Amino acid sequence: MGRNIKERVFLLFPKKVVNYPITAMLIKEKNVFVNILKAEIMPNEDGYMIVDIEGKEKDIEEAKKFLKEKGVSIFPISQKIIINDKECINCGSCVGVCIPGALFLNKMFKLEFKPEKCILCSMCKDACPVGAIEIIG
Amino acid sequence: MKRSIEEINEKIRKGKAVVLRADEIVEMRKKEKVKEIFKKVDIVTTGTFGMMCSSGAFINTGHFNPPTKLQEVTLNDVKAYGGVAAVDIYIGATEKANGREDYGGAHVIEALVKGEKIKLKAKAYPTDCYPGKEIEVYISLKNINQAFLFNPRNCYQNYNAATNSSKEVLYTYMGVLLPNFGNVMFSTSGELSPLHKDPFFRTIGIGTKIFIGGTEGYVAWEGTQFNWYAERDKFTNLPIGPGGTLALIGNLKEMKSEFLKAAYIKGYGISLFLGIGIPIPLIDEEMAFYASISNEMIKTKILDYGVKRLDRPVVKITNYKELFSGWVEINGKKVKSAPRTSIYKSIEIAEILKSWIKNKKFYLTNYVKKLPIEGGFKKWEEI
Repeated sequence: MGRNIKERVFLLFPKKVVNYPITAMLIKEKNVFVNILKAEIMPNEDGYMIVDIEGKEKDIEEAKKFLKEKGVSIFPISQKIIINDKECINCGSCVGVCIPGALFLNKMFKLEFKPEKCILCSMCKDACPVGAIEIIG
Repeated sequence: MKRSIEEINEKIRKGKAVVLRADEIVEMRKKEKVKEIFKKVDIVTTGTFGMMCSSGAFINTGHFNPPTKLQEVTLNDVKAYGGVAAVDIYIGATEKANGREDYGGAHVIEALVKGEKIKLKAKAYPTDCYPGKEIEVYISLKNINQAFLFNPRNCYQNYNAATNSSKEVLYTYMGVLLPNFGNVMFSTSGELSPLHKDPFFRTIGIGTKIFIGGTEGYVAWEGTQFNWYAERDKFTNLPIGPGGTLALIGNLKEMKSEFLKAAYIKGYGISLFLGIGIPIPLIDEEMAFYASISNEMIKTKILDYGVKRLDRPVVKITNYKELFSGWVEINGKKVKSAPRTSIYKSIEIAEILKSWIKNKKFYLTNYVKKLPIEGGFKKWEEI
């Protein structure tokens, strides 16, 4: 009997899974609480969700395994991202993985960042080839 | 009507040459015919700032005392090749540092360009003429004889775009590819890219003077994997997918770190961002036609990197207007697309080359020998 822990994750849903009651299944079968903080899910489109999963460590691991089996990609969540303008070369590698469109190239092909759109999935850091993106938290 | 390189250079000398960037001539083409463009414009400057893995530098350190052959040699813990003469070495961009994922040859080359000191460690087999057994010194561009980039393959004439049908996130040289056709990544400066503007290498050949890494350099040879027989678009004659390539050479001592930057690609390794610009002389109307080809007219294939074979399935044939719009339609779904090449930098390079020409710092060259030399493109069957 361990204590309950809470983990915040970013879930990327393929189109196929969107119509499947995944959150309900997690709660009912995997014995975890799921608190949805942000979601963008439309029928027949890929979607994403930011959730807090709360429960016993073993159950959370089981829940993540279940999600992966269903084709859902899981990414840890960070606190804040910072773009170092001196290092950034405005290539667009991060733009291609920024699902909510917080990172984009403007008409002059310069990188712009709208923090209010950022969902802190931290995929941009992995995608940046010159180490210009820093994650805090 | 024709216009020779000599005539163009004479115009540069007199300050009368009309030079436009590739994106500017594309704009001009919207309003004017090719014939008019040829009459008005002498030179079009191109630019690209993309990852070019097939890059590296030859270095000659100068001889040591006692004389020592650099046999097994590392630069900041990155293995360099010493199997040439005593103090000649080659450092390849993608070579990884011992025990490190995110540091490699490209970082060493960038550090040299920034003027930093690099730790050279070498072991040698002693001989009568090279008695030294080992050496540990710091080198920089100031205390070595020569350092020049000699890149076997740069400047791809078009390249495939990448997507991913699998359920897994893929970490590739084309970037992070999201599952279930989650995105499309591509790598070219499109209408600004040098070899899109001269599909049959009518003006670019061995000896052509170019912009490389912030300084002047040259086309040394045809690039490796040069594919003359790539499938071509019937109207533009441009390859749909990888075509010609260039082997380039340039003095590392004159290069600037704004135009040469190391890259670490998670899951793949090290590469080098390199800025290249080539002037396209409008010697006739045909070259004016090619030089003014727009993103919309340049096609490429989107390949599925989710299939892990050499012949990856073609998901779609698209053009760079669609790819640069940020969205591509795949199987009825709107998919995010983004470049891996910095267009911002590419334009900057084309602009610098333009200003060099206008300020009479850069004259055009006739090539010494036409490309391709071999032209073949061989593939291995599955083993």
